[in-house]
Amino acid sequence: MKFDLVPPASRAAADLDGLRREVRALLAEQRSAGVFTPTVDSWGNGWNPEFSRALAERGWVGMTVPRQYGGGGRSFVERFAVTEELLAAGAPVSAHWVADRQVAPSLLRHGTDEQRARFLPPITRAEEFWAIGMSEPGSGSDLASVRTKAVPVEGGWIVSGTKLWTSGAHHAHFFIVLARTAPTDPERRHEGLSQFIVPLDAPHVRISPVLNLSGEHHFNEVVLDEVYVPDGMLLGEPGTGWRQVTAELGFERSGSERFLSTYALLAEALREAGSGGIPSDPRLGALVGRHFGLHHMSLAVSQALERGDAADIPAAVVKLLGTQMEGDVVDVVDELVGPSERDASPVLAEFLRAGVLSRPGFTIRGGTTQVLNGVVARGLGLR
Amino acid sequence: MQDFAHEVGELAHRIFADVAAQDGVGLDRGTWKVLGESGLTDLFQTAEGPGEGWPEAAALLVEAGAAGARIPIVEHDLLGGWLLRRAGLPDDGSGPRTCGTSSGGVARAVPWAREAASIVLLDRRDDGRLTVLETGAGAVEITPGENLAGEYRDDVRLVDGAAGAAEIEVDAEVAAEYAARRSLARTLMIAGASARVLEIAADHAVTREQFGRRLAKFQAVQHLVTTIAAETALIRAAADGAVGVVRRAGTGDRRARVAILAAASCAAHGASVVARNAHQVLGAMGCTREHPLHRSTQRVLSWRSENGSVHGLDAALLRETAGLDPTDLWSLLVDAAPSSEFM
Repeated sequence: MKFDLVPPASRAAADLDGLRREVRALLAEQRSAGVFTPTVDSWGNGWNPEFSRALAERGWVGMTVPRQYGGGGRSFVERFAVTEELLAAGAPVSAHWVADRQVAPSLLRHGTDEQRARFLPPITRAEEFWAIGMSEPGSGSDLASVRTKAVPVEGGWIVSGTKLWTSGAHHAHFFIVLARTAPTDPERRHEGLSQFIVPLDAPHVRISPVLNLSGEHHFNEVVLDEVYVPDGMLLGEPGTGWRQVTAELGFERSGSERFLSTYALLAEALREAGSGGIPSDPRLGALVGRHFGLHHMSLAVSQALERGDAADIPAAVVKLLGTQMEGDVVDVVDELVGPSERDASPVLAEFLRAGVLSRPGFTIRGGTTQVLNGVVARGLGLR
Repeated sequence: MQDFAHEVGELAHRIFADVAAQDGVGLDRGTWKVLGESGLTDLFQTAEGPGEGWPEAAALLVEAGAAGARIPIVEHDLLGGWLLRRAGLPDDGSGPRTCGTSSGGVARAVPWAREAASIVLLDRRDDGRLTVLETGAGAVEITPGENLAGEYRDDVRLVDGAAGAAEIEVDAEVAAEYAARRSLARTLMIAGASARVLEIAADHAVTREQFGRRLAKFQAVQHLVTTIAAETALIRAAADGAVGVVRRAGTGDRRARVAILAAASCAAHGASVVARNAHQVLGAMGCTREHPLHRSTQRVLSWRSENGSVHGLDAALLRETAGLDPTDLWSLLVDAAPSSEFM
């Protein structure tokens, strides 16, 4: 076919059933020990260092990091299976999520030997957690417009600016800051950007909460007021920040967190549909079908990442479809349960409430649906 | 295994590009002959394990769907030959054969029946027994019909029962497995036809100019095309996923049944979006007989309905999954092993 936007799945795929069973066993153990109770959107709101460490003890944090840095030296496909199991169970994975998903691959790809040796081992032990400082008050979808500036000084850089919607900055130890290191060239807006590693407890870093619409504290505003960052904390070469950011998109957009944020809600609704608690609406069946398709699509992209292929376009397809489906799950269940929530079980009612409150973010975080349509359009040669 | 499937796909692509007649009606005997000479009409004949042959058949069916080839590629071997072998009836290798399900000797909408060399029927008899028989054109009465795309879908009635034909009783589970095989095959063809629709829509958007610009420059038009692309990719991923499950478990397994329903549901919902958006992009040009778009859009819509109503597919998926514990539901959706090992 002319457009194979998503690569075909490998039929010689590794057998992941055994690994999945191991993860399910740990999940059952942790649930019964009271370490967690399942939630909707558990990768967005489930900050639980104790659970993250339990995963790290099994080698399931930093799985793809080479063994010399304390990682598991395992494949992206194995990581895919583990993360899928965790999200399907509604397990609290936020604490290590950003470090595991994109900081570790980014350090491996662009970091110096010193940076890898310093930062990767604590990531794999779930001892140090990370946040991402990309968005700003004036830069949401249009990241190339960031105004945070880094000015070279003796032995390092002085970084100034304001980062916004920085998830988990109030808990995390470090964050990666996208900053302008050369003035904007209107003809080449993506040039002149660089990424820095900044400790969140560094002098002149001020973190203040930005409550989300449900009143919870996940987002932050992080002000960098002339923060000194030594040269050793620059990621890669100066001016290559945009390429680094876009190289991560295959990891950031293709994973199961882009279609499983509301799986717990759908599964609970299906259980209730079986017992007559809510109507047996075939739309629930259609959503099961779509979960099956997205599982296989996301798996195929993880195989492409394993091969080292560029995956930003197929990742955009996964996120485009998956996050809209997450919203559909919320809508369908909301329409079936109704406002009184009288007949629904307490668990379903709680999941639904959380789903309705977090739904607006699904199709925004990590690239809006509109940005993703642009990426896919480029993949089709339309622009 | 994968390499062979890939080769089958490449070979089929070349054959359909070189031979398949774009216009015309009725069974395309030229294409059928070339496919047969290349060994592509009987891919399941030597299959031994329950899931064997599917990766190769999938590659062929996607290409057949994209080309809109007017041949009984699903009915001849994947259904008809399979039924004969299940029943222990002889398969003389001749064809093209078609196949359908009947009730008391009456079958509806049998593909290409009026031009087929023989017809294999899975017949539900008046006494409830399920039988397989193969009959020639002389023993049936045919009422011509066609689907939205003009593909022959003829009603067939056995004259004087199955006079002269050997009729073998088979287990009740054969009916469910037959439906699963047919559904997965149609879903793969929809995947191919949707990919063809995407090509047409994208080509049109980058060549056609309006308001002094190429259509592709308008974000509203881009969005129509990217939505086709995303749905097409989902249909393909779900269909390939179902083939993967079937390859390991066969078409009789519960996990495979759910996978096939899931893929068919993705294709059924995707078909609406693919057809509507493509016609919107093509404008009045796409509404003409002359333009090739309708050949693919009407096939997509016809084939998805041949899998059963969209509502019925979704309701069946709900029946399979309602009431399950969330962990068991998850295992049913993603584990690779046959369900007997788990459930």
